Amino acid sequence: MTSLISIPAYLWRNTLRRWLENPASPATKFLVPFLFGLLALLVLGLLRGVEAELKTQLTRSDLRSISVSEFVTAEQAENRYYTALEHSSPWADWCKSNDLLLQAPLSASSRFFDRMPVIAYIAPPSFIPLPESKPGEPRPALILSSLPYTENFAAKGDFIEVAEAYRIPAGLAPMPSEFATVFQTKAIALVPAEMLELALTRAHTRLQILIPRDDVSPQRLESLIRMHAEAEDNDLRIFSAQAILEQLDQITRRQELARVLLGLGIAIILSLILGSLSLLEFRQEIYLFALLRSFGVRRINLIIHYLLETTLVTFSGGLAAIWVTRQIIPYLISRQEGATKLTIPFSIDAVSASDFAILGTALFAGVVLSALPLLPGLRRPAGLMLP
Amino acid sequence: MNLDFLQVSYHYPGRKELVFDSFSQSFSEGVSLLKGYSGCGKSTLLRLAAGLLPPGSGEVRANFPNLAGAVGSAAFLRREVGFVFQQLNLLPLASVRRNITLAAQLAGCSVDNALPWLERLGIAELAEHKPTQLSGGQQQRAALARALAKKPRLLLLDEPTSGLDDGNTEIIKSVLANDLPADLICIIATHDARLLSLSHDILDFNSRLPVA
Repeated sequence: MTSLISIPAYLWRNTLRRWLENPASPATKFLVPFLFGLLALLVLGLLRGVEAELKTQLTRSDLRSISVSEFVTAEQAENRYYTALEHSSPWADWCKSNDLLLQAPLSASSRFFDRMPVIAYIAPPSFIPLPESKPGEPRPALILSSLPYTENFAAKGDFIEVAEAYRIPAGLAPMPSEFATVFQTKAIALVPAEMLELALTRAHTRLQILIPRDDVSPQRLESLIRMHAEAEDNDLRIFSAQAILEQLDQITRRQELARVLLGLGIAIILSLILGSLSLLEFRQEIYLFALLRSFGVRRINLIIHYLLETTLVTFSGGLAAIWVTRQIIPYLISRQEGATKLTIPFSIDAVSASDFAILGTALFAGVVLSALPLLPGLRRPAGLMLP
Repeated sequence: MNLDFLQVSYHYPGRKELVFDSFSQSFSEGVSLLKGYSGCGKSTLLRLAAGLLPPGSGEVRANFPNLAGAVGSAAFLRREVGFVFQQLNLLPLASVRRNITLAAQLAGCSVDNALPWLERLGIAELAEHKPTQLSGGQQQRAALARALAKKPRLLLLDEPTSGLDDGNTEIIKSVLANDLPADLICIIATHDARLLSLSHDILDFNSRLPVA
């Protein structure tokens, strides 16, 4: 038992002595992983920052939402309008939000906006906060300038005094992002459907804004809708950000690959540098190892000592790099102001355990590979190496 | 108790000429001397005996109580072999005491039994010195103390008195003549005539025939 302690104790004393005599060796073994670790963590922090931003974008409901529009002709309008009041959607089970709106063949204007689509709702849509009137002010209303309905009907928006008005309780809302791909205007006029029954039963456009459940991808929902439309022979127009989502997915996959390649690159470069260093120290190290082998110390004990020694210095460098990126870099970023402020996303906190595992594995691979030059020396009989 | 060389052949890597060609020899308890010209293979024989060199063919076999088999394992080196190299190979960073206790501890021997060898070899007062602070003769004695401290059953000495004055040689010779345990195989490679009186069992490498 004592010998188990004695040999490592002697080896460590010898190691410390060697470090004092030749500090360039441990300094290099420390600095190389430190600089590579710093570089890797900066890149990983940036990649993770970008990924976090992408994820935020991916979870935005308007990016995940799918807009389906279908023009309902005059022949079908009455029937489809009354069916719509019961609003059952074949893909409702796949959605966490499923709003049906009907666009009336009207256009509205207000003192702020010249032309707005008039959107009728059966149930208030989940994604648009309906504007409320302020106390003492008249409730926002659409005032149709002429009745009954005719094509190219004109409507006037709220707060506009129009004689012979027919007031419809309504609201104006900024154009929701979910409609951005459908309409080009800055606002919409929202009206309860029953108020526009006369117009809607003549013709309308069905608008469905669907947001898939979190466990359903927008791509899958869109393909379901297309399959359903083909089966029903409906002429649907589908607006979605699927192409963007696919690109974002591709970017995410490439980032994963970049991270792995980064780890691999560090492992290779580190092992080359550490291997070169161990070759330089080979003669000194191998003599001591041969001497200890002549005492009956096993090769494995000597290899373990070498690995522990190199691991200690190398991982100290790696840990120093982590400390600098966690403490110094965020501080430097926070002190930036004005035009020099870093605008690219950097999030060292988002660097995950798997990233640190990649870095750690790269460092350890470098340590192990650096031991390879020692192996032929350890395989040689000690009797050939001792004078 | 024997150490047997059975049809051992050996040549150094990269060289064609054989140092040993089907060499057979048995060494038993007591002191055996190897003598011969430089480069005749005395040191090689000691290293083969310790298992520090593997024979090209044949076998070096230890027939010790509770241990019978080919030499060369780490355990055999650790427990059974005390080796004094020609260049001594003392651990340069360790004191004399540390050199001795380390070897004893590795062999599983008590340190209390190891340190008296310093007294017997007359270097007790130098126990805390580093090898580089000792003279050649003192280093030779320290190396012998290290080899004996582990209570080996096979003691191999490679030119233990080369370059030593008569005083130092006498100390070493006295220990080898009087203080070695009876159940010990001791093989000494030497061309120092002062040691020839230690044993009648002399292997003359000049002729490769046992002389006595």
